[in-house]
Amino acid sequence: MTEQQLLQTYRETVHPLYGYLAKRTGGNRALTEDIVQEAYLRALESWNPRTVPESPLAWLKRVARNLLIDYLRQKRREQSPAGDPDPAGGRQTAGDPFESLEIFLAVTSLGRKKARILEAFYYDGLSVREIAAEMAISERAVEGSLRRARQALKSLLPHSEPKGGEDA
Amino acid sequence: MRKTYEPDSQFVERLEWQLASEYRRTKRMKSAGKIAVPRRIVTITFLIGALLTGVAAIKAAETIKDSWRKKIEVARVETDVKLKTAHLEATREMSARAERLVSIGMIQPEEYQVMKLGTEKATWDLKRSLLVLDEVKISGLVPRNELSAPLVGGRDFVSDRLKIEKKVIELDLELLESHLGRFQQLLKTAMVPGDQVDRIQAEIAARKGTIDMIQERLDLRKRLVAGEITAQEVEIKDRLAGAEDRYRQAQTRVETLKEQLIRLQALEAIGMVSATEVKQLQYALDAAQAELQLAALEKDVLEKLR
Repeated sequence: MTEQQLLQTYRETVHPLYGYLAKRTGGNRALTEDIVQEAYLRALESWNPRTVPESPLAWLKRVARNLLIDYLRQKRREQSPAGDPDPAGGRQTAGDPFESLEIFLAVTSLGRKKARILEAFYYDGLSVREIAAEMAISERAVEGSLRRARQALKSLLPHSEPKGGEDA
Repeated sequence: MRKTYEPDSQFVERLEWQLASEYRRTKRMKSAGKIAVPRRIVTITFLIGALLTGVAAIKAAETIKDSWRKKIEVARVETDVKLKTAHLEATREMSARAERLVSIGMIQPEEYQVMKLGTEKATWDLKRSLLVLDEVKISGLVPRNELSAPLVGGRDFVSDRLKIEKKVIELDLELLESHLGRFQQLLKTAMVPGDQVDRIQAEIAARKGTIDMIQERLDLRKRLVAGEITAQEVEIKDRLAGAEDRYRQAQTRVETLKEQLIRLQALEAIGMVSATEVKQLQYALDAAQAELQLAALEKDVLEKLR
């Protein structure tokens, strides 16, 4: 990969990657910037002419998501019972509970399928039809999965109610 | 899309710049390091690398927040090292040229001496930057120069920097002392005015004061590292030493200016200098006296704290 190609990929992916991550960090700018930067540095280390992924954005999203989860888990481990309950070191002020890092961490702990469907619907803003097409399942199945995922999330977060409710 | 989900344009530009720099740096390192290595060594290295990667992965989550700042800081100091290296090369060239010229009598030996000193100072300057680079690579933070700063990776960078600082001033002092000898000779034959000699003497006194102060700081640091005194004590003692140094310097300046003023007033009486020149010197003396009072006040406050 030449420098020109690298920078071209960067310019094409930086905005969607940032948006993808910012939705998961609840708009926490410092954290989002750190992880985006780290993801690109990892890409720089990993990619070479033979191993450039077919979809660089998908690769970057996956790395960034894993980095965020690692970071949040690490922070949670470090927290003492009396300590700061917010994994980002500063509680999110946005009203939407889905903008909370805690909720994102809970979503990722639901299991791969449930997490994927919740993230696609709530974080990436895909419609039921789009999710059905992407996952190659029926819209009814998507609705059912969403309902079950929401219930599972609700049991993890007794005081929170995901935006959109059952009819979403 | 909401603005919260859009990256800051400055961040985007900085990251692009960083990626390009990292890309070039990696490429340079790869091309510089292409040597034939036995397959066995490659395998062992790979295994060690895999182990280290595992350890690094555990640490990754912890360091992620600092990585951006660290890389920026390292890049900044690396640039500084490059500039200092270029500067050293330029001064070396100039010094070599001056050496040739002095050997054929085209320039004065004093000029060559100044060039040589410039090269030596540039060498120490580069050493200092390399030291900063080492520290930044270990700590990932902007180096701290306070005497109470902790050791970094078991190394005492604060003392190392102070020693370099002292060395540079000693070089300056050496040059000033040689100038003083020459000027005193010239003064005997009335080739230079007396105030020029006074000025050099004042500068020498100031340099000596600074060297003493650095030595005091080095001693304090040594005692802190040895665990003989606490960081708080070091902080107060260091500030007190600084105030004492400023006091000494202001005192020297006041004395020199007073002498100059007396001479200038005598010259004004016989119409050799204008009243404006005398007034200017009077203002400079007032300022130096104010500095002296301030330093005395600072010293007083810190002594009470101690």
